[in-house]
Amino acid sequence: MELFMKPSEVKLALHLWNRGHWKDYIFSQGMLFTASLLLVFFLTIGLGVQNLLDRFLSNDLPAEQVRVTPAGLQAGFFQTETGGMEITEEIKNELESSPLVERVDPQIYAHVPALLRGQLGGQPYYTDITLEGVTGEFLGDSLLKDIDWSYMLEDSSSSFLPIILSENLLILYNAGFAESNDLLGLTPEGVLGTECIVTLGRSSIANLDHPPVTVRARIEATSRNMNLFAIGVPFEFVDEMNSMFLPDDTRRYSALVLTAKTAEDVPEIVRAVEETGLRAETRRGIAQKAEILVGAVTAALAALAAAILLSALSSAIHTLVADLKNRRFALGVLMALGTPHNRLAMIFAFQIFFMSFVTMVLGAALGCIFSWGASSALLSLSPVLRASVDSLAVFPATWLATGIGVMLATSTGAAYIFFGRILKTPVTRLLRP
Amino acid sequence: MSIIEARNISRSFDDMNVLSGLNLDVRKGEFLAITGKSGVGKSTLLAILGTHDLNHDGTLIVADKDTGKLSSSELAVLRREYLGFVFQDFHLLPSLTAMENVILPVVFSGGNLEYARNHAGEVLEKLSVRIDDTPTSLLSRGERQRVAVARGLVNKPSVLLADEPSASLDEESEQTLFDLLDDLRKQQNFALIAVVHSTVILHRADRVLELKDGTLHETV
Repeated sequence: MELFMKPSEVKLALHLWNRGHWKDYIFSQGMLFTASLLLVFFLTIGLGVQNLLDRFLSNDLPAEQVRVTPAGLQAGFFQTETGGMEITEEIKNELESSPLVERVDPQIYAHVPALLRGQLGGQPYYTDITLEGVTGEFLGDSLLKDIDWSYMLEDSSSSFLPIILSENLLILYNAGFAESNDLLGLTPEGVLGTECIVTLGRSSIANLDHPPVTVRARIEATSRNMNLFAIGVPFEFVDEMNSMFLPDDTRRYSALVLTAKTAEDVPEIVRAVEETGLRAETRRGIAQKAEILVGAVTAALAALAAAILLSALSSAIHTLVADLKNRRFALGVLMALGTPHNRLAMIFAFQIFFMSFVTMVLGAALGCIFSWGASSALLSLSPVLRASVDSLAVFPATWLATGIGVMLATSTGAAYIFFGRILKTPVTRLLRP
Repeated sequence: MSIIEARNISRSFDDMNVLSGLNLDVRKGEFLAITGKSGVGKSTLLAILGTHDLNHDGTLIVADKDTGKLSSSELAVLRREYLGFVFQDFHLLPSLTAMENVILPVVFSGGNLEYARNHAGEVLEKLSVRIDDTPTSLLSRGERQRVAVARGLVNKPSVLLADEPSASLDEESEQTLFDLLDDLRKQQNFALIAVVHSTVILHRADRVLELKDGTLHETV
């Protein structure tokens, strides 16, 4: 007698074995199908959401840098919270003199209304803007290797005002303005080299008595570190414009980016900054906040998936075991008639393990299709999402294979343990009514 | 030459001794009838001889093999190749047809299915069992009993153990069944060990043994 059976023999054996029990068998397989479908759906969508949050919350702030900002939110000449601590020249000097600080890169808003005009997709457009001056040192050599980041008004006749855009601003543009005006979306690569006209002293909501200043500008780079509400331009140009339009105002910085001598000094610097009433952000701090948010969303999705998975799995295990329990007698008959254990084990391995595997792979495939469909539907409904990610579903092959493997091992393992116990039971006991 | 040798077989359930030092030799081709009062252990004896009950003392040798020294897979081979069994309650799978029940051991053991089908067809026909798609749950008790007999014979065993094989049959059917068993026994030379109560059938046996007080006693 050979251990392995021919496919036709296995087919006939399963056909006879399952006669009258197909309903139970299909039900148990249906449970496994549902379990794998739900697992894959929630896993792929959960990871996709995590990916999306990571995309929104990530930052490129180096480990040794601290971003110092006023406690209230300030965008150009708008201040959402008054009475907060402002970043003055004295504070900047004080921080610069700290032995822990290697360098201070100041950032400054243009406290004058500004208007930007240009052509987008052949269509004229204009928009009010806020300019923020940043230093070349802050932007770094890699970003500025092909850009001349020095610009004063006297250069306006011979060169363009260089602009660095926030990538998140592009996302907002794509998701809102472009969507509602039927304009083409913009990619970071696509906007490079775009030329426009920037007018200071004029906007659609405010005009100053001082004659306006108009310069030609060009988008030279994009960055994820830039202020979302402002367009980055050379620091000295903004400083020059503030002095020209508001000569009586003292210089106030929108932010200071401190570079610590070592990353270990960062906590000490943060403490010192916070003692002054200013806000200090570090990569670790931002990452921690992001981690908490992403972790909470992931945990919620995982808990939901686990709850559904556990109930589906327990139903599948219960059904598989109940099916075997009901058929102890039939197994006893087969054993009494001389069917060897290894043959029975092989047939049940096929029925329980192989068929369950096929069922779960099919369930997983449908889960992938569902999550892909859900992702497509959500992206088509939300321009913000569409502008941020290509897909809301992530399909990590290793995770999916592991998930299905664990489910397969759990459900069929439980059934197989029970099956093994039946095989060890004396035939006379199995045949007992 | 003995196909079965049972030496000093004892079996007890809890504190009750059912078989006590039982000895038995069964020759090839003989019809051995076992009789005895209800509850004396006839079915237990058949379960031991059929290697279904292994929890006994003593030695059982079937086809020159000491069953106490065989592994589960060797026991399975022994059951399949040497022993046929007709259970008192038939033990058919109710959702299968007569033919499917008969060939079931062959299907699961990887024997010659074509041969088994033909042979099963012959036996079922001789036993007047209809060969169609009717599940055995819908057959009469007599028909089911004949299907059980056919299943016991399909592997051409050396020993057929039958626990009251004619219990559900009328006198005429009982005679027909034993006529057939006699014919097949002569053709295939298998030993028939049957628990029998009918006096008519007892007269057909080569030997009649009464199970009493845990041992077998030959009767005239």
